[in-house]
Amino acid sequence: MVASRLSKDDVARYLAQQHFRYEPELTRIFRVGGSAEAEARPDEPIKLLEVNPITIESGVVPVGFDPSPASGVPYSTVLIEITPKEFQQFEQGLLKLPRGWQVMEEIPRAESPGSAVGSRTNGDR
Amino acid sequence: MADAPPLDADWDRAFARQAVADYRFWSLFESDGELEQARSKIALCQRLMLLQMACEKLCKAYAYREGTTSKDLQASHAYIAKRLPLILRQIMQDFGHNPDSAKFRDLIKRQRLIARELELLQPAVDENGRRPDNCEYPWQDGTVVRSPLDYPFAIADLLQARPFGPTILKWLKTAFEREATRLHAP
Repeated sequence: MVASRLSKDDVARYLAQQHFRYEPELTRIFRVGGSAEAEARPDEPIKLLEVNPITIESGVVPVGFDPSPASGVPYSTVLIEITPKEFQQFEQGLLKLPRGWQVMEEIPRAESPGSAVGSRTNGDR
Repeated sequence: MADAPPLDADWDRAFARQAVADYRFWSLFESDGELEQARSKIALCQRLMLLQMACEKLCKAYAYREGTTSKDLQASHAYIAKRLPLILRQIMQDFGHNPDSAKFRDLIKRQRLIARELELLQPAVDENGRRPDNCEYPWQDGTVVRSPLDYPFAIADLLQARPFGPTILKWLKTAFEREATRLHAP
């Protein structure tokens, strides 16, 4: 994968599919966005909200990562993982994202692993 | 003019430094550590406390990097179970492990369990009284008082049990080595 040519949208989809594959328990993944101005900046992280029934219920806990071009992720990223119950609370407005972030589109699970952008693996290492 | 408060980047760096130092201290007594021979003289609970503290600070460093407020972070110890699995999953991804391998999916599940058990070593985290066991203070268990010095912490077995334990320890080592590298980056 030529990481530098990929847009944030491409990389967000790639990341989401990788995460679906690593953790089949994940039920849904959403893209999260801030203001249009912030999102237009190249250094604004890609933000994903992941619904995972095997995480613990402890609210919205964002985790930030540096860019990792070698693994196909040339942008910094923020992951937020919540349980399905927390997602319900989120939908009811009882749980909120920080800094005015909003949930944008859902990234559906790809039907086949090969459809993820830029798959790269080292086998069962 | 009032003094400006420290930046999140300053907190990130400080927590990362402390995390790496705690991890190195813990590592001294592990199988390839310089003080491995002294291991039997140090209680399991105390060695686990070092690992727990290292992981908590690592997770807090990541949180400051993302921009979580100082006040939120300094008031809580419950940060490992949700953050550490994502940090380790990212490392796995960076190493290019096959995401469709059942073995690695099992590893991911196991590292979530280990992260939760690490968090429960903190006295302030007890699952609403269901898990009073911790690596610092004695606790009441029915009619008896238990001491961390005598307690057989399940996480010790989880960390040693093959095939998952050693691999997860290796990922942890990588996570701390990355922090050390990051601290020395210009």
